[in-house]
Amino acid sequence: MAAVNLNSVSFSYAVTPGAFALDDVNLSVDPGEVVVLCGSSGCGKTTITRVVNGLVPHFYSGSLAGEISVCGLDPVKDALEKTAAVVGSVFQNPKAQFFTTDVLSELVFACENLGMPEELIVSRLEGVILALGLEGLRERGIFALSGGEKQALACGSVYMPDPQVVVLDEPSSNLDVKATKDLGELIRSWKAQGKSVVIAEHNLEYLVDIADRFCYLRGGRIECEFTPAQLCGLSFEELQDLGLRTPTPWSLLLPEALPTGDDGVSFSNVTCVYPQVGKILNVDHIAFAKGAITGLVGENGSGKTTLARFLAGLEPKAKGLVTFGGRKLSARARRSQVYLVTQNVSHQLFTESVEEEVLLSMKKEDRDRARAILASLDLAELAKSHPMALSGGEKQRVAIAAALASERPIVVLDEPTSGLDLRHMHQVADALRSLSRTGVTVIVITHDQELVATCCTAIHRIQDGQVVSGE
Amino acid sequence: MRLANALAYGGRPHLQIDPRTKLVILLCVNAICLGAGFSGGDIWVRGAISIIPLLLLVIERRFVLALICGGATTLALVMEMFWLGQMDGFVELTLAGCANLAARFVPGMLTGIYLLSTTTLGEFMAALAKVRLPRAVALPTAVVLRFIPTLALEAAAIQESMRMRGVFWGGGKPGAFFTYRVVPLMICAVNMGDELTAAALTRALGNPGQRISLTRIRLRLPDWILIACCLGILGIWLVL
Repeated sequence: MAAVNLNSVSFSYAVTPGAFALDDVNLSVDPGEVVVLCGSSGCGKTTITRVVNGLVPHFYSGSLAGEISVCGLDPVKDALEKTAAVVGSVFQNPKAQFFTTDVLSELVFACENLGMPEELIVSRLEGVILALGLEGLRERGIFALSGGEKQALACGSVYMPDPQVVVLDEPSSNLDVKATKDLGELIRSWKAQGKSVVIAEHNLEYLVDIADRFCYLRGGRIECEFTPAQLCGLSFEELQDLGLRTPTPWSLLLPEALPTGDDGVSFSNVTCVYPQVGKILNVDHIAFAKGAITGLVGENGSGKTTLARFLAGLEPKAKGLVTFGGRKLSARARRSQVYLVTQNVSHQLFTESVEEEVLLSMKKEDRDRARAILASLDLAELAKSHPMALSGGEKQRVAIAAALASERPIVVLDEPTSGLDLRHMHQVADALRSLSRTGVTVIVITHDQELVATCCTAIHRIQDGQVVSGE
Repeated sequence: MRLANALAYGGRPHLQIDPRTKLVILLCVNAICLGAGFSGGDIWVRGAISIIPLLLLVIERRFVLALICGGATTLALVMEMFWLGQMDGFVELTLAGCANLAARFVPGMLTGIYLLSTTTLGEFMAALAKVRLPRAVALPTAVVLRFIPTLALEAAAIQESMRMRGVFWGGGKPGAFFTYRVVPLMICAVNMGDELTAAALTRALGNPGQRISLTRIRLRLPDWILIACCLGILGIWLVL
């Protein structure tokens, strides 16, 4: 018998009545089966995960039709905590899924709420800590964990009550290659234990040799299903039509590290030491060509973001020499020459409309130029919208528009495409190209191979705080 | 970033203190620092109670914080004791006002930092359950405790972005300060609160049945000593 069964399920959110988030969806997942839901943003894949874990309709209300059964429960009629005993949920944003502030409390949280017997919790705790390699994190506070550690903890705390079904909503969007691989291994072990796993995901690469089926959604409907072999066999054009990220990014042609002249940005002898962590950055020399788009890649915690913050003059603990066009740039000068688009763009959009956001960046307000910039980034229609009401991809482009308006010669972006689908990734890539056309030196920190292959003209790799390739 | 880090739980503390004791200290420190007056005896009582959070921070090796805040509090109290009442003129009165604010709020703030950075949410919830606080009160209290460091982190990130974009105060526009700083913070907080609630509900937070707690909390000798000190000072103040 299938563990999860959705029978002609339709749903529209109460905030957007009439717009079907799900439209006659039929899906059944057997024990030990891994099903991936894919499709562009807004296709309904997240909504399916919410139907399975009962957040629809208990938390996200709306009108729901159809029959749902999950391990013999009806998540619509049964209370959320009943469903919670059999369905574990992992979410996209690791920092917003922890209820407690330390690792151990977090791991036992669900079991405590469910009132499980103490001895059982303690024995499961040791097992889960071992299985997920969380031993070193036992006594840590969650605010001090890295993105990968946070997601491992999220998976661990979902694993604790031993649910029969696990749903994951874009679990890899904030993870680097290694952490994503670890996540894949965990899903593989869940599969071997006979759990049913449902994953809504853009990043398909790590799932091709784990998943049984890929359900492709468009407009709230499951349009077709692919086996892993069929998915990998799709041509470049077919993937573009479907709006899917490539499942085989290793086949992409990445740019070479190009020799750079003296006119770009160059760093010499950059070091950064944190008292508890030790030396996190030790760069002898690294250079970024003027007007080029250079990808800066490497694992989480390798020092990429620290290097970017140092370049932007925001990292007081880092020391070193930065030159631009052959001239030395002090930290103070860098703060007015470098524009840093941070990973969470919501933190750097302050105003009440997209247009004002662009005007704010200008030394002298020039509405005509602001309109031209917005038009060049395909944002003209959104000029009056509130930045916080936009989607992730749109916010990224607004931040890039503000960077363009600032006329700063160096722009650094930290993971601009995390969690974006193919179409939005291409929009960001186009925006980066318009930056570089104006002569701006663009540095992109990313683990998105497809973005690098699409728009970067050079690439640098950082490992353990050191440059390992490039010049 | 510094304040945010100071507020976040930082791993197992050097001296294990029961959360109930911490709450008693928090209440006593605030009651005395905010309630006691300017007479000689009252200032001594305020000074005495202010030592407790400083001592706890020193035990937790938070030397810099303890030194700066301890210095500020001492200076403020000394100023109140010897200069107050003899001051006039704008500068002196402003100075006296600042000293008074520091002496009254810094000790409470330090106790708060100590409470947040050394208590896990599990301990806190166990403590609230032990004092038989109803769940309808305990749960929101715990959420607030969870949320303070998060808000501080978000605020620090926004602050840094403003610095990066060269927007100080409000970019020269009056009133923009509120919009630029507070609105994004509120929106981040609301979104995150939503996500947090959804995540907690999928982990049976709404379960009306008996919640169990694995966290063992117990009043030990240091707890009793601290409680005795606090209540002693409180008693002296009330008798004086």
